[in-house]
This record gives sequence, structure tokens and C-alpha cells, in this order.
Amino acid sequence: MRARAAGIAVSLASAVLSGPARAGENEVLFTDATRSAGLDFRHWNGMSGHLYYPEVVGAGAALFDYDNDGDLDLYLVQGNLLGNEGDRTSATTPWTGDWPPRDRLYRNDLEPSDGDAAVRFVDVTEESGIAATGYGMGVVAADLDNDGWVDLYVLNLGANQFWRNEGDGTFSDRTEASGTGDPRWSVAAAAADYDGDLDLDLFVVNYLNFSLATHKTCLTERGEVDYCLPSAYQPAPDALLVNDGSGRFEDATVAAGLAAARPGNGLGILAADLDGDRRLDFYVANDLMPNHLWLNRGNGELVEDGLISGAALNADGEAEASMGVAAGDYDGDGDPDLFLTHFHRETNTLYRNDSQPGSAQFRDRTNATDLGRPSWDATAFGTAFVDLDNDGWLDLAAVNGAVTFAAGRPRTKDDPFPLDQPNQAFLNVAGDAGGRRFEPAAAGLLDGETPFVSRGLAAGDVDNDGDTDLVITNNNGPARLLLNQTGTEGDWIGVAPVLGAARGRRPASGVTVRVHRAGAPPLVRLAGGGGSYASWGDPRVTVPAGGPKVDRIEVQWTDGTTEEWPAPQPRAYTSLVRGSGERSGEQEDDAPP
Amino acid sequence: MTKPLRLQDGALILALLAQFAVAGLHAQDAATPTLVPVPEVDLRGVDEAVRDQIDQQRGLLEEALARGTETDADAEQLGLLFGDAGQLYLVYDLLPAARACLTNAAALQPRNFRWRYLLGSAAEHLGEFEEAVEAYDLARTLRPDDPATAIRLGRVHLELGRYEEARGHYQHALALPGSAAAAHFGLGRVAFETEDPTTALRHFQTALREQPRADSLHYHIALAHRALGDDAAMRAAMELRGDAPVAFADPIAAEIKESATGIGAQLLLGRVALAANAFETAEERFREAVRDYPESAAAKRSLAAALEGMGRRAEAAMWYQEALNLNPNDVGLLFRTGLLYNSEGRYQAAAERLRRAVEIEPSFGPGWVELARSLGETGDHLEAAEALTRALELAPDDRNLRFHRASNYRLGDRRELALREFESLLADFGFDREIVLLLGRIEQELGRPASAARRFEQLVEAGAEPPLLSQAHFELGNIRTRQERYEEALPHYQRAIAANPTLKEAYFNLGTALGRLGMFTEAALAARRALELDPGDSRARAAEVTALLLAGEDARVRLMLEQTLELPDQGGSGFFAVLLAEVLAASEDDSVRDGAMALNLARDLFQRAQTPAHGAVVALAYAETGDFEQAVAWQQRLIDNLERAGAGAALPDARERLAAYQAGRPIRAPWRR
Repeated sequence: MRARAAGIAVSLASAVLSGPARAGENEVLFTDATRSAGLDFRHWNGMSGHLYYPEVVGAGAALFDYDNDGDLDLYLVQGNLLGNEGDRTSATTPWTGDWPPRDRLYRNDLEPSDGDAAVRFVDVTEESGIAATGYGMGVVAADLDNDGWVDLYVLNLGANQFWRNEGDGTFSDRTEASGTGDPRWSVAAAAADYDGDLDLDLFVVNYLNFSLATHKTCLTERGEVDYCLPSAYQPAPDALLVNDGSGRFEDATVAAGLAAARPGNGLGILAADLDGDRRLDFYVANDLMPNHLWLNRGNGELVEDGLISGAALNADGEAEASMGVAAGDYDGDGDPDLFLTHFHRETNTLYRNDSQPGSAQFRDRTNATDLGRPSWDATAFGTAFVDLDNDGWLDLAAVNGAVTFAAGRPRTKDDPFPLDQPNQAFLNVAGDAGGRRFEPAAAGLLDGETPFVSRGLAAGDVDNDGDTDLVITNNNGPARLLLNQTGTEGDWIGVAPVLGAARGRRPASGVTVRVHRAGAPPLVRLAGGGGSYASWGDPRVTVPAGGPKVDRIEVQWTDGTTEEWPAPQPRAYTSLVRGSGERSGEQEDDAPP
Repeated sequence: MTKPLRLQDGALILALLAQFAVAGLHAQDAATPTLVPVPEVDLRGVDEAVRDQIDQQRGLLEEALARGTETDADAEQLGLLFGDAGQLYLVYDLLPAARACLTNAAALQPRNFRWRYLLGSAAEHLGEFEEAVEAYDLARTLRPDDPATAIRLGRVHLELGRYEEARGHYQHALALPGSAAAAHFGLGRVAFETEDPTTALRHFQTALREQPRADSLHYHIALAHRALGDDAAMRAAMELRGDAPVAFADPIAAEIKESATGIGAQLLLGRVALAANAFETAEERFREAVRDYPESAAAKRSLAAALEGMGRRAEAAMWYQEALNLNPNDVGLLFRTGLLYNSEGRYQAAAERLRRAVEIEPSFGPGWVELARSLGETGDHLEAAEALTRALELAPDDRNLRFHRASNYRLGDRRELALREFESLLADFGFDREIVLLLGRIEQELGRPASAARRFEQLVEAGAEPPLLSQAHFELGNIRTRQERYEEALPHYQRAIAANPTLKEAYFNLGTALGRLGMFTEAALAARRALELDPGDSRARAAEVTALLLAGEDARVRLMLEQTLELPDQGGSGFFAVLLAEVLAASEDDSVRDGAMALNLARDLFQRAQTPAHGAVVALAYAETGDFEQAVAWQQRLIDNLERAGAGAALPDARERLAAYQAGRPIRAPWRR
């Protein structure tokens, strides 16, 4: 007892000195590098007291290497004013920047510092030419036109935008030419190779049929005016846009079978081979409606298999208010499991993947892994499977913020948006009978963190030190950069699966990376493919290499082929270019088209 | 000591409660509960009707807190108000405040199932599953067979990943009414979570058979088929999937939903009026509620309470019964109805309701106590004692319950048990004069006069208060009288009278003892004192006239008897008439005797009741008139009847009289024999 008390005292003292979060008594997870990195973005939702529904939904961020300099730059999505003919004085919280508000692009100028690299974000929005002034929601960062430069696809309340990376630090609006300007309320999308032709298609997730004309005033059971629940509006159908390889897209929604399913209130999406058949599937997180699992049949057809597979409803058989989604092999059995974030008084939900190739099957293991109770009070949005403590097991991060005052606090003149909630980290630890379970980190993600109304979470190694850092977006609040402090303590291996192209190397999306180790099961990680909420993370993969010796790296590409490479040099990122590795023979013959 | 609470600025600053211990609680709980602070609820922006409803409830609570809790009744009332407030907060999803109020309600009324159950519900909604388990567990100790509690406990344990515990609760729920489907569903969930799809499938299918409308079960059936590898069955089941959940009987949850509607406000207004003793206004409100919501048991119960408060018990009983018809298993209603019936003397009806209440909630102590009262009043003392035993299992240290059980043992002819119970009370709680007195009486009833006398003497030596001292001497006098130690009895009766001059029985028994000692004039005087204390006491009157006759005051006796027989509704008039006839026929005082009058009276009496005593008086009167032939005939018939009846003890006197009549000799002053 005494020792425990002493341990806590030491922990608190450390926290005061250095400001890091601690998972347990000794483990430092993150430091807040927002200010030191020069990240000065503040989201503005333009709320004006009318409680327009989009105000509370919030926006995301993308981590991507727009200038191909080997580090992650940052794109942040901005809100705007709704209604009132652009009269910004009608907003509850004033807009202090240049009008109109716009999304921001920050270039990462990593600077050497005491043997490490210090992150320095420089706002390059103006010179980039990006003029994203819509009411922004989400963003995808992917090389959509196969030119070796990562483009941006911005999801809006209103027409989405395709910002083509010109390779010279600038972007051009290619929305119209690309055919990607979906005018509905889109929140998230996955850029992934749905048809196995190695270019990136777009699965666009639309939320609700909302407009100022259809705005509703909603009341709680106490008669208080509050933000509506999604059930107040009709769901907006999702869309599948197929890339012709040049960045021009055809709408394949009907042809692929998406119209066969009842539309959902989509907020989150990821692309991964979820049923083990080496074809890229899609999982859509729907708000208060059954989630969709679109299984890829390999012939252009997507079949909605959520209910059948057990991944649409929780163990009670109920549809939950899914906001964000993450995929990761939490139990080390080689297949990606699913984690969904939810409304308060719902648990976040963990679906264990029990699929056999071609036969998806998921089981709600939330209670069995102790993930239920800790998330009961929170309304969670952005999420990611991340090895937060670099122990080789995938942990979970979830960022939270209420969507109704009933779930937060009553609003006042001085506190007009009191929806803030603490963010959370769940550490993957050994459970009973060889299973795994999760323990909430005592301090959340960051000890002493000021809670905001968090929404987006983009995970990636921002300082290239081998661990995974986090960018958190906050609705009507500042974006935050949390730098992970665990990676530099041991060896690590980083790989970037890329597709070769005449015009450059393109980050792959939705591929599966298996890190084979001597005498130990492989570590399985997903590269790209989206996930979280309205955000896009690092397409690279990093794993700790301090334990069992890494023999080789295997990548399963989206066309179903696999290749292997010898273990790369530790403490650096190595590009694994498709075609440069050794093909895995056992899968060549039956690789799907 | 009353502990008023001051509330800051008119707001309900219940944080003060943190240090607030309820002074009046002592009957069943040794430790006084400390109440928890209630988080302040921000009602800005809340609908006016809702705010009014909450404000009024808070107002009632504030007033009760300001009054403090001097007595158990105060604490009881405060508990009810906290419970009502908790319910209201729960209905309006103000969960932290609901939890605090219900915590306090449960602390103040630890035997109230409802508060425990709702506290569990509030904690469950808050995600405080451990606290929910604790509350539901406590609720379960109060109502072990409540289906909703069992189902909810199973569900919370399932949320906590405690599958064995969840399984246990669901299995318990299987046998309970209205919960089989939910229990099978829960067992299926547990089986599925523990990787046993075969068992899961069986339970899901059984649940569906139990509750076919719960078509959401098809989803679970489908997943179980899937886990078992039967894709065809899985797809077939998935096709049938609907949204109707598995329901279970949860009357409390259903009832409190009313609170959020108009009826809640209406009832609240009524309760406000009731709290202010404005019964007529309350009645009006509740009648409106009954009219508007005829299916609301709460409205009818509230109306009944208002009517009961106005003393209109018959109407109240009717409305309680109406409410019971809607909600036949409402323990509170059954109890209230039982109380009312008991107070009206309808003990059988009361016992019926109270027995149902404790069958539903075996840990409902007040129910057992009130049932014991009903049973005791109907003479079922041993059943009453059994009911008190059940109450004592819940409150083993309750002296009053043990006392009443001992009393019932005594009245139920289990005097040895009574003796032991009373003695253990003396051992546990120290010397108690009332109990010593009762012990003496029981010893007497058991035929142990020496032991009884020791108890009473112990009481006398202990210097009891006058009433008890009087009783002790009275009992000692009786013991001596039964032992025919009349001279020793006299001083005890006299001390009994000195200590309590209104103790009629002491005068009466003093008279008896004096009579036995041949002090007839004094005996008559003692009987006269008894008669003065109770002029309707025919025993005392009989004792007086008998003593006077024995003292030779025949003329006075004749006059007294003639006056007595003229009194209306004079109890024992048959005795006095026979005695008058005897006096008229057989007095030694010639001025008193009147044969013709005696014969008329005697024949009249015999016509009304042909008893041996009446026959003997007829014979006596014939002898006095000189008609010894008739006297002999009547006396002979009397003897024949006595012989046939085997009444041997009376025969010698009867034959002696026959001989006298045969000899032409009348009888004089037979009472002296």
C-alpha cells in the first residue's frame, strides 16, 4: 500500500515537470507538442444559437506527406457559418481570422533537436492554393490520380472537393473534372482499391439529408432545446466512385450494389480485407443504424453482410450510434478486428474477427475485454488501433465529446458549447486464458489534458521516431498534437508499402502488413485504408523490434497478391515497393482478379 | 433532538446533507444513516411544466429537511420525499441527482424495495454497474423472487463480463412469473459470450417460444446458427428478424414513466396539497387524476390516501381496492389496505392482504408485524407469533416484536414458550416490571402459584409504580385466596386498593375473601365499592346481595332485588329473580316471606327456563304456601332429573329438601348451607 502511494507521488511529480501522460505509474505516453510545433489551428463551427445539426458534428484531419520529403504534413478541416447570409456577427463565438474560414495545410519541417527531430508545422495554406471554404467535415489524403503526389479529397456539408497535388507545393481544384463533387452531406471517405486495379477508388460516406430548410428544433424529455439526434432526419445514401486511373471517377454506386442496402447515417469508414479472402472490403459506421459491412466479391459487386456477419449490431442485437471505426489485430490472431465508437450510455464496441476466408464472422467481445464500462459516459468519435506503449500489442485511442447538452452540461451564455469530455486510451493487456483485455490508461491520453469537444483523430509518426503520434481535432476548439514518447526507447521497424508508378511512388491504402518474427506470431498491421472519424492517418506501419527477431515483412496488396522482404534496417522507414519483393508462391495461383 | 437544516438562498443546497445524520432512526437500524449530498440540478431551459414539477418536489423536500427528523415518522416521511424526488429525477434523466436522492431514500427506509430497485436502475443508466449490482442485490434481499430484479442483475453482470453470476440470476428468473423469456434470452447471451452457441441457440429458441412477438430474437438465433456453421438456418432466421425486444414484467419501471406525463404533475399537485393537510384540495386533484387516467393505480392509491387522511375510511378502502385491482402485487398498496382494514376491525380481510404483501416481499418487516396484529385479533395467536418470528428475522433485536410474540404465545396456550421469551427479554434488556408481572401471571396459569408469588413479591420488593404495585398485590391476594389462605389475602387486596383505588377486581376479590372469613357485612361493603366503580357489574351486585343475605339482612336484600329487577337491561336478572323467589319463599324473616308472590315468580321463571334451579325454587315456594304435595312432586321430579344427569353433588341437598317437604316442613335460609 505504501509503495503504491509512493509510486503515485512520483508519477504526479513527473507529470508536473514534463507534462506527459502516463498509462500506468511509470509509463509516459504523450506530450502535448501543439504549441512547440506551431500548430495554431482552431476549428470554428459557426454556431449561432439555432442549434443547426452540422455544428455539433465536427471535422477531422489528415496526416500525409504532401511534399514527399519523408515526414507527415497536416491538413485540418474547418467549419463555417450556417445561415444568416454570411453575417458572421451572428455567431455565438466570434471568428477572429481572415474571412472566410478555410481548411488549413501545415507543412512539417522536422528539425533536429537533441538527437531527435522536433516537429515544426508551418501554415502553407496560402501558397498551396487550397481554398476549401465549405462547411468542412472530413478529408482523405491519397494519390488519386496516380502521379506520385498525394492529393486531398475534402468532405463537406455541400459539394466535396478534390484538391489535386501538383507536385510543386500547390494544389488545384479538380472537383468538377474528377466527378467527385458529391453535393450531399459527406463526412468521411475511404480511398482504396476496390476493384483490384491498383488505383484508388473512393467510397464516400454520406450522413443525413440536412439543409437549413429542413432544420428542426429538437427537445429533450425535459423540454429543453437541444441538438437533434440523427433520427430527426433521413439518412443520405453512400456513393462508390471508381477511378479510371487518371483521377477521373465514375459513379458505380448502383453497379456495385450499394443501392441494394437501406441507406445508413454514415460517419466513419475503413477499407481492409476483413474476411480474409484477399479482397478489399469496406466497413461503414452508421449513426444509430446498423453498420454496413460491404464484402467484396471480386467481380465488382459489393454485398452488404453486416447483419449476417454479426458486425452490424452489438451483442444486445441493437444498432448503436457509431461515429468512428478502427481496424486492428488486437488479439494477435492475424485478422483485423473492429472497434466502433459510440454515444454516451452506449459502450464502444469491439467486434472480434472470427472470419474464415470468404465468410465474414464477427463477435461482440466488448464485455469480455473490459471495454464496456470505461466508455459508458463518453460520446466517442475519432479512434485508432495504435500500439501506444510500443509493446507489440495494439492499444486503442478514442477521442470524446458530447453531441447533446443533455449528455454534456446545460449551456449558458459563458459556456455556450459545454460538450467537452476527456479523451481516452485503452491499453491492451493479457487477460484470462491467454486472451487479451483492455485497461483504461489512468490519465487518458494526456495527463492534465484540458478536455475539448474532440472529434477527429489522425494517427501517425509525425516526428519519425518509430512510435505513433496523434493529431486530435476539436469541434469549435484548437487542434492538438500529442507526441508519443515510447518509441525512442528501443529498436523499431518502419515500412511504407508503396505502389510503383512511372510518375513516382504512391502510398498504398488498405494493404495488410505482416511482420514475421522468429519464434513468435507475426505482427499484423493495416496500412492506410482510412478509419477513425472524418480523418486520415499515416499510411506507414511501425512496429517495435526489441523483442523476437524480425525475419521478414510480408505485404498483402489490394489485388490479392503478396510479397515478402527481408527485415529492413531498424529505426528508419523503408519503402516496400510493390513488385520489388519476393512473391509469396502459395497465393499466386488463386489470387483474385 | 430536531436537526433543522438551513438552505442557502432558497436553493436546495443539499450539500449540507453531507453531515446530516437522521436523529430519529433507531427502531431497526443501530447506525443512523448519513445522507449524501444531492447535486444541484440546473433547470434553466427546462420546460416550465417540468420545472414546476421538480421545483414542487424539491420544495417538499426542503421543508422536510428544515423540519429535521425528530421521530421515526419524520425520517420515514423524509425517506418518502427523497424517494419521490429520486423517481422524478430518474424520469427526467437527471441521473446524478436521482442517484443521490434514491441513495438517501434507501438509507432512510432500508426496507423499502422500491428505492433499492430504482437506485440500481439509476446506477445502471449511469454505467456504475458495481453500484447497480449492490443496489439490486439489496433489493433482492427484500424481494428474493422479484423477476425484474433478477433479470436486471443478470444483465448488469453480463455487462461486467461476469458470466457465472449472470447465469445464476437468469436461472433464478426462469421460475419467476413474467420473466421466462427474458431469462432464456439472458442465458442465451451468457452462453454465446462463453463460446457455447449450442446452448445459446436452445435458450434463444425457448425465449422465442415464450414470447413470440419478440422478433429481435431471430437475430440472436441467426448468429448462433452461424457460429454452429449452419448458414441456411442462419439466413432463414435473419429473414425473420424484427425490432421487438424481449420484454419482462417490470411494474416499477412502467409506473414511474407516468411521472413524466400529465398525471405525474397532477398527482404531484395533489401530494403538495396533502402535505399541507389540504385534504379537500388533494381529493379534488386526485379525483381529476383518476378521471383522466382511469388505468393509473397511482392515482387511485393517492385518492385513497387523501380520503383516509380525512377519516373516510370506507371510501378509502374502496379506492385502495380499486388500485389493487390494477396492480394486485403492489406491496405498498396491500400494506396500506391491510392497515386500513385493521383499523376498521376487519381483521380477516386485513390478514388476507397483508399475507399477500409478505409473500411477495418476505423481507417487508412492517407487513409481518401488521399481519401479526390481524391474526392476533382474530384469535390466531400462534400464527401471529409465527408472523412475528418472520419480522424478528429481519430485526432480531427488536424488543417490542419479541414482547408481542411472547404475548401471542401466552394467548395461544404456549405458555412455556411465552415464559422463555419473556425471561430472555429480561436477560437481554434488563429488569422490566411489566414483564415480571406477566411472568407471574403465566406461572399462575401454568399452576405454579409458588413461582408466581415469587415473581409478584419480586415486583413488590422492586418498588413498582402504583398501577403495577397494585397488580402485584392483587395477584398475590388471588394466589392466597386460591390457597384458601384468606387472612393472608386480605392485606394484599388492601394494598392493591391503596395503590390503585379504582381497581374494581381487588374490591370484588377482597369481598370474596372477607365472605370466606365470615365477615359478611365487610364483604358486602367491598362488593358495594366494586359496584360503585362499575354499576353495571352484575357479579358485584350478586356478591353484595349474597353477602347481605349471609349477614341476615333479608329485608334489605328483598328491597334491593326488587329494585334491581326493575332496572332495565340488568345483567344477571335470571339469577336475581331466582334469588328473590328464594328470599320470598325461605327467608327467616316473617316480614320478608310471601309464599304466593314467591310461587308466582318461581312458576314464571320455570316457564321461561326449565332448569333444576328453577324447579327447586318452585318446590320451595309450594312448601311456603303449604302445598307440600306439590312441593314433594316438584322436588321428586328434580331429583329424578339430577339422577339422570348424573349430578350427584346436588343430590344430598335435594333429598334433604324432599324429606322436609314429605314431613310438611318448609325450608328456611337455604343460602346459609
